Amino acid sequence: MHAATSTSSSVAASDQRSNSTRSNIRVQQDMQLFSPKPPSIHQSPSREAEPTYTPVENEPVQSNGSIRPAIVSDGRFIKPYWSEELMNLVKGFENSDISKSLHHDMTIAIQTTYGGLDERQLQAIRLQNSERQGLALTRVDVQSITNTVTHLTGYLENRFNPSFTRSGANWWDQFKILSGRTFKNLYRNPDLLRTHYAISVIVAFVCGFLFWKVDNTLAGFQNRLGVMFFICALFGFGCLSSMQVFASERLIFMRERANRYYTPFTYFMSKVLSTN
Amino acid sequence: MIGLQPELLLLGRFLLVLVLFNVTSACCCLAISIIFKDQSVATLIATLVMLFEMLFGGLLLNKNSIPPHFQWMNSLSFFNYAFEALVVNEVAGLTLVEEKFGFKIDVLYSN
Repeated sequence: MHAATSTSSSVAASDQRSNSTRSNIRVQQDMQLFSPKPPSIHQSPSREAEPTYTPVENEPVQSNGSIRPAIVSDGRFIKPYWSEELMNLVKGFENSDISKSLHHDMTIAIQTTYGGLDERQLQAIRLQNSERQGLALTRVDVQSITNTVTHLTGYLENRFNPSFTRSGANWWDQFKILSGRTFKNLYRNPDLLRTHYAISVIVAFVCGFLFWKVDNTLAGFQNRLGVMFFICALFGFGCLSSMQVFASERLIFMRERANRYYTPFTYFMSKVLSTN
Repeated sequence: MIGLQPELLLLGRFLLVLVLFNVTSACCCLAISIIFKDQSVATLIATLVMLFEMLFGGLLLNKNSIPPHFQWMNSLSFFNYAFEALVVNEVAGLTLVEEKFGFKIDVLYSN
């Protein structure tokens, strides 16, 4: 496996670089994805050539059809073939605060469950657990771990207590965050907005020149009726372009609603006030 | 450019009616897009609904010639109200002059 010079600092540096040259990376990705590629050229000119040959013992499916185990019986751990970006991500997560707090929580849970035991008993329990097929814990263990998890995260309280409301953001904070997100989506796709502006101006000029100075004859009356009808029809069919506002984010909204991040009312208001 | 009546009150009413109409039709389209999960089905149904509103809006269909058991669709169409408001706003008190056969015929708009 080639050398991965990945630390959390390099992950942070690559984030900064990618933010400032975002269009370059995006263009690069688009070219890699959408341009026809000759089969022999390797995809990433920026890195050294990745080995396309994996050693026989590293292949997931061996030649006799069996799946190779991740851990061989004599304790050797066969490293899977990982690319550099994946190693960057994994190392970055290991050194992050989230993973440290997660490890801290796990340690606390283990301590409170098995706190009174010494090392030998802990070792015996670990051996027992690893030998069982499905890690079936006893009821006492499940109950104590449930208590610890509930105490630490409040997760199980939410599920079994219907009147428990997540003490998250209040109404105004929800609205601010959601509006910020909607605006970011909006100005990252400026085409729809620009088309609306252009259509307004062009149609206004076309209407003005077609119905130039309507006079007071019967033909003028018909022209007046026609221009009013035309403007109404324009607005009516222009609203069809706002159909994708809710449809595209439907799944995201349903998942966040199920976790009760925000009320549907704030979501609706933020979308409606920032759509055209 | 068009030469509609240049008074400020009429302009204000014109803009108000247009804004309200836009809001109504946007709400209608949003409701349809929420009801139907599939986006293409929603677009189709919304197009159909908009077309029916336009049909019963007053210009395409003579209101008096609608059979009586369909007269309720006039009151259901928001196009109807917007179009009638715009036209009344524009031509109230207007005198149309039609010149035919050398005579000047006055057609006074009255409700």
